[in-house]
Amino acid sequence: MNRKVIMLFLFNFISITLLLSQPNTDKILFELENYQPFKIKGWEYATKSINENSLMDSNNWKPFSGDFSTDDSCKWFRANFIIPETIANHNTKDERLIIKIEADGFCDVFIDGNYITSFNNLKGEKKFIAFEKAIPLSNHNIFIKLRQSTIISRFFGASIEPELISTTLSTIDDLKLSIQITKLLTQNPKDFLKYKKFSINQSKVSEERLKELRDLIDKACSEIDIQSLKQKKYNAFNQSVQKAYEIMNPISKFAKEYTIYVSGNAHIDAAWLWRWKESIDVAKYTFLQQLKLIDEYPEFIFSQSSSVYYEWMQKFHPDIFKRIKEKVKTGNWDIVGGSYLEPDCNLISGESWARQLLMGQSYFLENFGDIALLGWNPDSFGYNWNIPQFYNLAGIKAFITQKISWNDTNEFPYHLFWWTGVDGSKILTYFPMSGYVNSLDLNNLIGDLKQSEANTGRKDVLILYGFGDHGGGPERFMLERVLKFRENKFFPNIKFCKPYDYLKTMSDDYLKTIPVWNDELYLEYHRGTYTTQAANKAGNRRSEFELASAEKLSSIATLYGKEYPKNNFFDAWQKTLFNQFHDILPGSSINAVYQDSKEDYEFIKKIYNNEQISAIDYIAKLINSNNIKGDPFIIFNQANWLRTDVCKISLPEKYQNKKFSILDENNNSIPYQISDNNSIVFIAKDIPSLGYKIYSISDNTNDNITDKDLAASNNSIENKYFNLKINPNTGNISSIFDKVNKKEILLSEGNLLQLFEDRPTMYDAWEILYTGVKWDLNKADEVSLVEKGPIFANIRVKKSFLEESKIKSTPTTKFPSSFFTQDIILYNDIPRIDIELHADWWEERILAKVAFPININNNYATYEIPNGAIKRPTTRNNSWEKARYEVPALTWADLSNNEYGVSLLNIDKYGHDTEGNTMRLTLLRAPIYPDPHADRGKHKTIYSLYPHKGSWENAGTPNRAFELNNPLITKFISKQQGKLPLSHSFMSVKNDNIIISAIKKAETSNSLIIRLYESTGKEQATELALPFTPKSVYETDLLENNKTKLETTSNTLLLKFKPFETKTIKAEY
Amino acid sequence: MKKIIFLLILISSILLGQNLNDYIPNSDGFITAWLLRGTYSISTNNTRDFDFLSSLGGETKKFNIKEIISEGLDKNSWLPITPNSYIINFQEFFGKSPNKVCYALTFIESQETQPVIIKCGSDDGIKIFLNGKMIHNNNIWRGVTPDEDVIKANLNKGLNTLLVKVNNGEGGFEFCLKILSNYNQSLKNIKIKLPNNFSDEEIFKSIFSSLNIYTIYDKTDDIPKFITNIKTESSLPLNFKRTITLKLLLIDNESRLINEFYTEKINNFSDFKSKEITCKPQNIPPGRYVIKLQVLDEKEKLLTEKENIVFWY
Repeated sequence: MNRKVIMLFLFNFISITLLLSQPNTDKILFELENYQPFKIKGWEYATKSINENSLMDSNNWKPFSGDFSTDDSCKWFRANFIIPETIANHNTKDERLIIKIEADGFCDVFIDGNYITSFNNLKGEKKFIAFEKAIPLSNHNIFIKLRQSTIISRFFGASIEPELISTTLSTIDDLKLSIQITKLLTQNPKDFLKYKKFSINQSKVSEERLKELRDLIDKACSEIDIQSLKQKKYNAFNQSVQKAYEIMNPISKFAKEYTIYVSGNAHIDAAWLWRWKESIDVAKYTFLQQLKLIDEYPEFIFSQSSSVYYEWMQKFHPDIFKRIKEKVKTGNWDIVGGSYLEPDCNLISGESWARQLLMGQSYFLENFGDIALLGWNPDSFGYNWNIPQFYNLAGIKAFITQKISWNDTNEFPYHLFWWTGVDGSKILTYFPMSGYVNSLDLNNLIGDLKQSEANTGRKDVLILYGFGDHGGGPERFMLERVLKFRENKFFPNIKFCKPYDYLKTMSDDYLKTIPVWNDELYLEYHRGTYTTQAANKAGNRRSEFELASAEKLSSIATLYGKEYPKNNFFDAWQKTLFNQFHDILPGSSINAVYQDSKEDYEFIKKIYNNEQISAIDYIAKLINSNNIKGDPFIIFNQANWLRTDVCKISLPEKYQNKKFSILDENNNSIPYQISDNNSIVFIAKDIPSLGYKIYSISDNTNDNITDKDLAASNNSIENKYFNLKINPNTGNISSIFDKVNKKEILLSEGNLLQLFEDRPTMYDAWEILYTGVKWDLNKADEVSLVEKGPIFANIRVKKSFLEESKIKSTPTTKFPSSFFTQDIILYNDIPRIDIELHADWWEERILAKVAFPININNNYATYEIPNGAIKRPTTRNNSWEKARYEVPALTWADLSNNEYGVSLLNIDKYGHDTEGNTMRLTLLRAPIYPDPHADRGKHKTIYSLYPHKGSWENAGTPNRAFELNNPLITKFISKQQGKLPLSHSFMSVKNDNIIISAIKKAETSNSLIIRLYESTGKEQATELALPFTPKSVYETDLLENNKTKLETTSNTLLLKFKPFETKTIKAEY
Repeated sequence: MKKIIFLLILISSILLGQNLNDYIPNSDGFITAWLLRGTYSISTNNTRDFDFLSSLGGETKKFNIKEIISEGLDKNSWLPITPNSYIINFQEFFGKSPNKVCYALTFIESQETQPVIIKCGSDDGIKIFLNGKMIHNNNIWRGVTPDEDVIKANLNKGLNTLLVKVNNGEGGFEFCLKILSNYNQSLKNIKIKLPNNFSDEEIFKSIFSSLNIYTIYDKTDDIPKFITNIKTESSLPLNFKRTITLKLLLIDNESRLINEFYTEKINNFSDFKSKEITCKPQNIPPGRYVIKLQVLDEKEKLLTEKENIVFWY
């Protein structure tokens, strides 16, 4: 296993050896070790049918190494044993021997092939007299038939003890447990922090008090009459034990000052090493088991997140769903999370966050009468800095995760803290001491309690328990442990509880004293998940933006009478949200999962394409285009600002090989260029905010278009903004000169493809582990000017790669394995340098980046996070900075100082790094596990440099990145007599830093929902212009609940934004 | 005959005397002075149970220091190591090793016959042989966690051989082992004997790189403070008599020095166990800080630096 991972587990490591030894206590524990029942070892199991009449002859047995069976039919266990001469220091000759079986479920017992007895109790003791007069050293076989009685039957083993000392052995067992409990409980919490590089100790219990208690244990142990035990004077021994307990009584009082809260949960990965269809079964059997446990243990509480699992039950297993609803009412079933599922928390957009929470909480409210109050995302690979705001806006009061304890470099300091988001929102955040998979053994329970005491100063702890990943959840033996510990008077209070109820026990005054974390929760691990499975990630980005565009268009069309395709959007969003699951979108699933998600993204694409076309056609019919010369087409701008951008439309057949003109809305001819894929490319100027212009194509109007071609050669392109040079040998961009600001942008050659050997020792798809072997692709196979005209010029650079050590068979030993084409495109009138990369990628365990050494110095670079931005260091001065060698971002990263900056935009990438002056975008990986085919094949992506004067905030980097990701929509339309003009804005916002991320129909009414966010981190008062004057307007939360009524008498709303604030507006028409 | 015996004893003692160092387990009881041998491939023919040392007399042989020294101490035979961590990572010495077996051998000199508890963790499976007898066998896939396995054993008076066999599937390949008294206490009456060919400088480097710091932000008495513990992760050689200076610095998040709150010259570093230093910074704002340990030699030359990122609130 991987060292890094293991060091994480050290975080939770508790050991008896931490304890300062007390001579009598240790001595007694050591002596008592000799007094144990005889454990039968060497168990074998058989799943095939065993002939009960000839057990001794049955075959098909296999060694049984685990401690449980999950078979859904009966299972046989057998072992051979020799009766020892002594058990627990007691001679066995002629003694009555008891066999105790540890198993959950019904069982039948056979000894030496003969049926002996059956047990029909699911739980509890299973013991019987096995030998009336034991013969030492006699050889026997025991056969146990464990019948299916619960969802999971378990078998732990069996032991033998003389009946005469059975009670004493129980006494010894209890005594050992009591001593172990009290020893752990009376340790200084500091001792539990031994293996942490940095820890916190806030315990208010003095070492003096603890020592007094430890001395009491030691004194009590000195009273235990081991000699009597050795001399088989069991009454005397038992009496001494009672005396010891009396001495230890004050420790019982001390123990009851503490409380351990336990919350059962089952982590279900919606898809990972299995497909989603299997997860339906996983959820089914997990839930069946939990329902059964609730029936058996009325105090037991089970917490489960993710509305999708409940939906599955509702759809496929309504009987289970009905029972869950009942248990929610009784309080035994606790709904947590609030989202559709547990998504990746770095890579999804702000709008996706809104939808995850809207879909999840709406479902919970509709079906269970209430929303979830606890954010629950224990297993995602880092948490963006805007989550506190999203949770606050979705009615979520607190957040639980544990993943940050997986950090490979630094230990996260706090377990209970206020997490402050990028906008200043706060959420109470709790990290359990030891993950979410816990089986409640003694060391864990007390160890976590003591660590909690140290970290938080509190005398309580919340422990999440239950098996997970492939479901499972709590099992009977865990609940039995709770009940057993509760019976021990030296054990702290232990309670089943809902996790949020634990957090509610904290007083407001106490919560004022806890630390504040005002940063993202960056996971120093799994950094490869920002890049692995590139096609899947592109599917997510496209779906997010295009669905939003389709909704915007449809919502506008709906205001003019079109029916809103609510169900289609619901289906498409649902699939989008599902594929954001924290093992799908990060790229850590098996190949079959990506086959499924590919189908889903095709389905989503069909919906957003159809709905965009349908809405545009509807709107187009309202436009008065009758007087247009030639064939009109609409240019729609999804952005809420006036936009000048590149525009492309397919060349109609009738104009092919003919002279034609492109006319703007005023019938003025504008320059255009036909690209090599037969598209007409032109610059559309001043397209209204969330609106359109009608342009047209017509036969040549003989207008004189005076625009010249861009100046371009095989190794240079120039527009009015930049002079760009390519090194013909390396194929890299050797210079980008900003003509307006008179500044060279590159420090050295940029657009350099860099490949890195990337060989994680485990978690291949998740992790990045550079071996130090690196290839800079500094040799171009070809550099040529492939397109040139008045609109754009394109220099194509071709490169290839063959790893030196790769052994290829003759005759093409040196033929490259991967190929890259970089189209470097400069548009007239657009201050952006686009690079369209085509990769034919067939490497293994190699990572590809593109690098730009930028002529800017700053200790920080800025990156887009969902509906916000974050500054991260470009220095590597300490372990926290060094650990951030790869960081997640959405559509842009920026390196600026106050005077100048460069933004690196992208359309479907998420992995970045900026060290010193070099900005890099991670393009592709090639892991071999769990999908050995991950990322092999052909890829296309676009990234773009946006050099700008001043800061990124003033330069509108978020707007430019939006534009790159949302090309203007064009479509030929038929001429109509309509009411709408040839150029129109349906909606606009006065300030460009306020971005509209969604316009949709409300979930439960016909109102219009508009979601906006401030994108540059400044306070902003602005005006939102709506299409018409609404009847009423409310500011709502993400769940579309009205919060504040906004007064308006016109179609204009005044809105005030805090930095990075997300607002949802509901306008009733 | 007596002369020959005397000569043999003399040669042996010269051999031993020249190449044997005495170590003690680190402050937690971990043994970090070992001889490593590997790697051996697990294949369809050779499982983890295969005795890869059969040509040397087998895993159950009571190894002899003399024979080991005479075979040569390097990667091709037994490689002496005193790493800077209590976790012995085979891949540090043998490279990536999927489906391999490695051995670690050490010699424990006990002043008396005594029962002991051996606690170990391994990645993945482990077998332990004490004086030629297998005392532990755990065939398991796991990561290394200290003290996961607990074994009762007996040390003989005099020299004991402790052989650890670890098998690896994929990924990490390491183990850690500590030896304690029956009552979980550190053993004072044992020494680890390691035949090695380390130069003084190598020992110097290894020891100082094993120095580490652990910091607690302490608020137990409502006066917040940092309590930093300096300790060596690996065993110290008993005859290591260098003088070093230890310094602790508190640095803010912008890399500015706030104060140097501890300096101490340690004349005989073999005697160094661990050190706890308290720092009570005045009027520093909440946030992230660095506590840096600097280790300097006799000439004030910086030998190594270690740092903790810490938080103040």
